[in-house]
Amino acid sequence: MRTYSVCNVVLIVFGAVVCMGSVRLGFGSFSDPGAGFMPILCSLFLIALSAFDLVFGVVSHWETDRKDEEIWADIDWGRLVTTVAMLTMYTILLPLVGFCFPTVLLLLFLFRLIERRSWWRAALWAVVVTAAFYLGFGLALGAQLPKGVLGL
Amino acid sequence: MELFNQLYMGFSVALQPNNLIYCFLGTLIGTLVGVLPGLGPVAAMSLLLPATFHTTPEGSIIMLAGIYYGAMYGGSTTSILMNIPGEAASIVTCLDGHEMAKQGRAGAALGIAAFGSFIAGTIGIIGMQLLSVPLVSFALKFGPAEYCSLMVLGMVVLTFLASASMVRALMMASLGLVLGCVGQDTVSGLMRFTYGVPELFDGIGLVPVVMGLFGISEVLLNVERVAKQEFLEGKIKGLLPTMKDWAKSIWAIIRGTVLGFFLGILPGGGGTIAAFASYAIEKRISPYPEKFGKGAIEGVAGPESANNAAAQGAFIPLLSLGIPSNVVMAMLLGALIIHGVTPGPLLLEQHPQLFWGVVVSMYVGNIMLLILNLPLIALWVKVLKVPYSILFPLILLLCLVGAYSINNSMADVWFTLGFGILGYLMKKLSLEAAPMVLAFVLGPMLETALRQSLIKSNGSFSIFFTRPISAAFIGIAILLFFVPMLPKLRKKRPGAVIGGDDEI
Repeated sequence: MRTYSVCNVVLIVFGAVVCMGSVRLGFGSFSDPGAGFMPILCSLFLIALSAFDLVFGVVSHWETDRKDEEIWADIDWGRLVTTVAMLTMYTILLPLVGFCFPTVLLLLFLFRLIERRSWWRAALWAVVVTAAFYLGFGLALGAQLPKGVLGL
Repeated sequence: MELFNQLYMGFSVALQPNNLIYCFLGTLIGTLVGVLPGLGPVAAMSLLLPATFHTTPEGSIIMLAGIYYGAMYGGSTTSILMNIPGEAASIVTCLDGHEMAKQGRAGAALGIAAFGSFIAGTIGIIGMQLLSVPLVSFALKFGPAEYCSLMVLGMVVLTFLASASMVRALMMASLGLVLGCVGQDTVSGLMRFTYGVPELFDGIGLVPVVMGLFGISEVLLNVERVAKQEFLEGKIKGLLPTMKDWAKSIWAIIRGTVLGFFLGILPGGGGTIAAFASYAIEKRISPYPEKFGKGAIEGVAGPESANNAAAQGAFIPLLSLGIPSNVVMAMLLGALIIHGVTPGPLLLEQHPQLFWGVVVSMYVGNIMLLILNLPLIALWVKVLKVPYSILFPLILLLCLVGAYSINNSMADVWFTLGFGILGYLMKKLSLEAAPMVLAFVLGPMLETALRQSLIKSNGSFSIFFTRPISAAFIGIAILLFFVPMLPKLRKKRPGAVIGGDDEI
C-alpha cells in the first residue's frame, strides 16, 4: 500500500509544480483563456484525483491492490540497474560514434549478461543483428540511423 | 450510382502497381509484427514512416493502414500456438485458441481466426464506406463545442472500459493531458514547460512516449523475470473449419463484427476493448459458458472478428472528423499531415482519391492477408520459433532507433528511455498507460476546441449543454463517469474484467 501512497504524493507534488508554473503563463479568463488555462485545469484535476485516491484508494482498493512485498518481490536489481545504465550509455554514445559500434556493444551485453549466452555466441548474434538492422532498415528502407564520427 | 463511381475511383487508385506493392508490404510487415510478441504496429509504423515521406500520400497511408489491420490478423497466430498474445488485441484469443491447439485443433483455431478476421474486415470496410459519407455531413455540423465534448466522451469511455480503477485511469488521463500541454501554445505562441530545449518547442513526440511506455518498459520487466516460452510442435492440419465449426462460429463472428465496428468508431474504443467485450458477450449468451477457456471455438471467432472490425471502424473518426481514436490512428494522422493532407470533414471533398483509394485498398489487403495467414501459415510458425533472447534486444533496438528516425533527434531517444522507466513503474503499480496516451494525443486538440468554445460563448460553459449534439456527448460521459459509483453496477463494469493493455 505504501508504494501507491508514494505514487499519489508524487503526482500531487508534480501537479502542484505544473500548476504554479502555469499560473505564471497566465490563466486568462473563461471568456479569453490564456496559455496557462489548460495546464492549470489539468493539473488541478490531477491533484484532486490523486488526493482522492490517496485518501479513499487505500480503503477501496484494499483487496485488489498488490501489496508492497508483491510489487517489489523477486526483482534482480543488479540486472535492472545495469540494463538501464547500459541503455543510458548507449544513448550517450549513439550521437558520438554512430549506430553500429554502440549497438554491437549493447546487444553483446544483453545477450551475454541478461540472456546468459556464451561470449562467442553473444558476439556473433550481436554482430549479425546489428548488420541485419543496418542493412535492412538503414540501407534498404532508408530509415535514418545516427551517424557519428565513423559515419556508420 | 454514386457509390459505384466512388468504388471505381478507389479501385483505380488501389490497383495501381505501386499501391499494390505498398499494400502487400504493409500487410506483410503487419502480419510479421503481429506474430512477434512484444512488437506491434506502432513500432513498425514509426520505423517506416520516414521511408514513406517520398511516396504519394495514397501509397503511404495504404501501407501504414495495412500494417495496422495486418497486425490484427497476425496476433492470433501467436496467441493460439504459444499462449502469448502476439498483439494486444489478441490477448483474449489465448484463452480458448491455445486450449484448442493443445487439443490438436490448432488448424481449426487458426482457420476460424483468419476467416473471422476476413469476414469482419470486409464487413467493416463496407460499413466504413456506407457510414463515412453521412458521418461527414453530420460532422460538418460540428463546432468546437461538439469536438470538445466528443473528445471528453472518448477519454471517459476509455477510462470506463479499460481499467479496474476508474479514478486511477482518470489520474493517468490527467497526466497525459498535462504532458500534452508541453510546447508552444497554439493561440498565444507562448512557450510552455520547454525550459529552453528546442526539441520541446513542438511538444513531446508521440513516438517516444509510446515506444517508452509500451516497448522499453516491457523489456525492463522482462529483465527481472524469465518468460517461459511454450510452443506447440507438430504439423498444423485442417485449416479449413468444418461445417460444425462454422455453425458454432458464424453468429459469434457476426456479433463480434457489429460490436467491434461500433467500438472502433468510438474515440477511446479499439481492438483490445472490442475483443474483450466480444468474449464477455459470447460467454454470457452461450448455452455452455463452462466450455469457455477450455477450447470453445466461439471464444476465438468472436474476439478475432471484433478486433478486425474495430481496426476498420477506427478509421472513420480519423478520416471524417480528424480525431484519432487510438495511438495507431494518431500516427496515421501525423503521416497525413506530413503529406499536406488535413484529416477531417473536408478530406472526402478535397482528396477523394486518397479516401476511396485507402478504403478499396483494404479490400485488396484483406484478401492478401487471408492468403498470407492460411496457405503461408508455416512461414509464420517458423518466425515464432525465434527465441525471446533474440527478440527482446531487437525490440529495444527497434524502439530506440524508431524514436530517433522519426525526427533525427537524440532528444527523442532520451524521452523514449525516460518514458520507458516511467512505464516500468506504472506497470509495477498496475497503472494503465492507454488512457494516458490517448489523453496525450487528444490533449492539444481538446485544448484548442475548449478555448474556442469558451471564447465563442463568452466564457459560459453552458455552450456544451445547450447545443444538442454536444449535450448528448457530455450526457453520456457524465453517466459513464458516475456509473462506477453505484455499488450494484460497480462489479458489472467491463473494466472490472478488462485489464488489457496496449502495446507498441
